[in-house]
This record gives sequence, C-alpha cells and structure tokens, in this order.
Amino acid sequence: MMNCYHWLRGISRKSLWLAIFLCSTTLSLAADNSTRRLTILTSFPPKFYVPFVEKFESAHPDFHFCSE
Amino acid sequence: MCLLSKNLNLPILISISVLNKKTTAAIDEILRGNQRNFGIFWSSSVDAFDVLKSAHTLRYLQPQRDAQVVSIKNISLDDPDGYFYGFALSGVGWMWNSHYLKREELPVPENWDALLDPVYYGHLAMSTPSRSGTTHLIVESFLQSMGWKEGWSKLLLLSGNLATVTARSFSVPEGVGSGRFGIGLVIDFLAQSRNRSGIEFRYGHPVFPVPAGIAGLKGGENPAAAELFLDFVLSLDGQKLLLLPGINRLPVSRTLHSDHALKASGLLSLTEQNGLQPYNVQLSRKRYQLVNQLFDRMITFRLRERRHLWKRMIDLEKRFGRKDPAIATLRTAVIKQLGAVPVSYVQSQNPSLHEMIKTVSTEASLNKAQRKLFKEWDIFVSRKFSRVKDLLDQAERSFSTEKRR
Repeated sequence: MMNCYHWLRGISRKSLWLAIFLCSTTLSLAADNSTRRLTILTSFPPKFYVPFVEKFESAHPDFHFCSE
Repeated sequence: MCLLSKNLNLPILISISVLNKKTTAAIDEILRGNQRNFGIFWSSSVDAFDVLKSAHTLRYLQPQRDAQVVSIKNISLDDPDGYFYGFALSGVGWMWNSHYLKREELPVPENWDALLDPVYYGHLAMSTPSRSGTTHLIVESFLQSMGWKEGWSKLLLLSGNLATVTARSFSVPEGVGSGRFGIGLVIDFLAQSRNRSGIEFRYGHPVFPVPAGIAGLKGGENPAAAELFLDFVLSLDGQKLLLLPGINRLPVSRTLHSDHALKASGLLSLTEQNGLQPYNVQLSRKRYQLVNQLFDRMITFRLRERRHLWKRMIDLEKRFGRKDPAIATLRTAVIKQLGAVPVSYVQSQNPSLHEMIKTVSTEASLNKAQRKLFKEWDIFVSRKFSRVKDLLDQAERSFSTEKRR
C-alpha cells in the first residue's frame, strides 16, 4: 500500500511537471502569437488608409484585412 | 481593423487604430511611453515626427524604396538620420467657396496679406495649432516666412476677420464646402479632397513643401511587420495609391512625377518657379508648445474680443473713409496694439521657456510656473485690448463731435 502511494505520488509529480511544462509552452506560444500584432497610430481618416491596407493585403497574401 | 496572417496557421493580427483626435494627442500618447504598443506612426505633421524623434521614441530604419524620390532644392523629404520617411508632399494656403464669394461680392484673396483686408471680416475660418498638426504648419509658415514679430502681427490681425476657430482641421473644409464661411486656411489635401464645383485652393507664397511621413515606433509589438508596412507605403505601389480620387495627395516618387496629371499640380509648378522655401522643422520643434500656447492665449481664447474691437475699427473706416488722415492714424495705432505679442523673438529662443511649457495639456494640469507665465500673457493681451478700446472710444467721440459741427 505504501509502495503504491509513493508510486502514485511520483506519477503525480511527473504529471504536475509535465502539465507545468505544457502550460508554459502554450502560454509562450500564445504570447508569441499576440506579439504578431501591429498597431498603426495615424490621424488619417479611413478614406485615406483603407486603400493602403487593402493593397498591402493583396501584395502580401500572408495577411488578411479584417474588422476587430 | 486588423490583418491576419495565414503563415504557419498562426494568425498575425495587424490592427489599425485610427486616432480621430488631434495630432498633439498622438504625440502625448507616444511621449507617455507608447503603452498601447503602436508599431507605426503615420501622419501629415512633419513637426510631430521631429518632436517624437527628439524624444527618442522612433526606430532607426533603412527602408528599401523601389522608387527614386523627387529632389527639391534644399528640401529633405526623409529624416537625414533615418528615423522617419516622407511619402507625400503638401503645402498650405487657403481654400474658398466661389459661390459664397460671388454672393457676398468678395474678391478671391491673392496672397496672405489680402486675408487681413476688412472686406473679409467674418468670412474666414481656421483651426488652432494646439489641436491640428496641419494648422501648426500654417502658423509656422507665417512665422518662418515673415519672421517672429511680423508673422505674429499678421496672424493676430487676420484673426480679427475670423468667423470662428474650429476645433478640428477638417471642420474648415466642411464649413467652406457647406457655405458656412467663404474662405478657410488649410493644407492642400484637405481642400483638394473636396471635389465639388466652386471649391478652389491656392498656395500661400512662399510655399513650404512639407512631407507627410511614416516611422517605426519603439515599443511596438511586431517590428518586422511594421517594417514591411512602412516599405509598402514608400514603394511605387503605395505611391500610386496617393493618386486615387478619394486620397488625392502628391507622391514623392520621381517616376510618378512624369505623369501629365501631376505636372499640373500647383505645388510642382511652384517648385519649378522657385517659389519654395525649406520648412525649418528643427526651429518648429523647439518652439512647438510655445507657438501652440501663444496662439490659444492670444487668439482662440480671446477671439470674441478681437473680433469686436476689429469690427469697431472697420465701422469707423466705413463711416469716415479709410483715406481720412485721422482714420489712417487711428488704424496704425490699433494695428500696433492688436498685433503685439507678449514674447519677443529673443525670448522665444530661450530653452528654459520651452522646457517650462513642454508638458502643458489641460488648463487644470498647469503647474505654478506655467500659471504665472500664462497670466502674464493674458494681462499683456488685456492691456492691449484696453488700449485699443480707449483709442476707439476717443475716436468715436471726436468723430461724432466733428460730424455734429
């Protein structure tokens, strides 16, 4: 019974560490994901900047224009 | 709005936050530490770029332009140190509504000085440099072409003709377009974006061609994407977008300047006629807040009084004739008082004065030294107004007595 307890406790620790590792990796990926955000500060009106953003999107297929 | 990248199935969000506020609010936000992590600053105000550069908030970048830039004598379109880049050219002047001028039987103003003519009393509008970066360019154009004292004097006298000082620069073309006022002091693209019949624009002389710019900001979340977007705006593809009817801006690409439509641009004609003067952005940056504060203290906050006194002078001229020697003497005295500025040119160059008012944002946030300084300016203006009132009272009394005789 005691051996089983130690085994379970060991497993739990390993699981715990695994969970912490996976969690931190996920969080780090999420953080990396959020850093892929570019915000542009401009006083130009939409009439001015929307054509630029749309053309930029068509020139760079990786990017997609969307509404927040 | 945002852009998403499909690359590696990891979305790249590029949100475009639009600042529908004054340029100075954008500057304040960046100077406070760019807490919203903006990656790009994109604006018409060359002054704003220089202010941000001097505060070390801009990134050094070396964009790859695929189009050669037009060369204008003594005028640098890009920051020589590589912190911001020009993508469009602009100049300031005045726009007018031809239908309005015809209805009011007013001539088209030929130059800046003409706007001081009493015939335009109540027919002009402009914004304030503290709320509009492009209006700051207009005010600096006066100061840099005529000098500190003369430039302020002209602005102060012109303000007597203003119907209003608008809170936003685009309210000026809106008001001219709707016929609320006849003439508006604006930057070229605000006038040219109104493709309506009867709306016209003229550059002031000399014209100060200023580049609208783009720069990378320190503290942005995605520097690589910022560089990509900046490269695109400066590319030939980006430059061509400036010619769209809704945008209507003058590109800096030499390739596009061979286009016939662009050759007709008033700004380019002036380039060829040597009618240009380089805009001193360093000078403008040093006194940026000083000019903004002086304009508001002398004009924006005192407009009603200025208009009232100027109207009394105009009425006297109408009643007794502008050529009357006594009226001419009175006019000279009134102009001297109304055109006086509480800060001399020498004082305007004092770095400690610039430092003292560097962080003025709201009236409630003024510190003790700022309150004291502004109170001195207010007293100076009040004394000048009081002197003008005395002169006008005296003239009205003596002219009335003479008339009775």
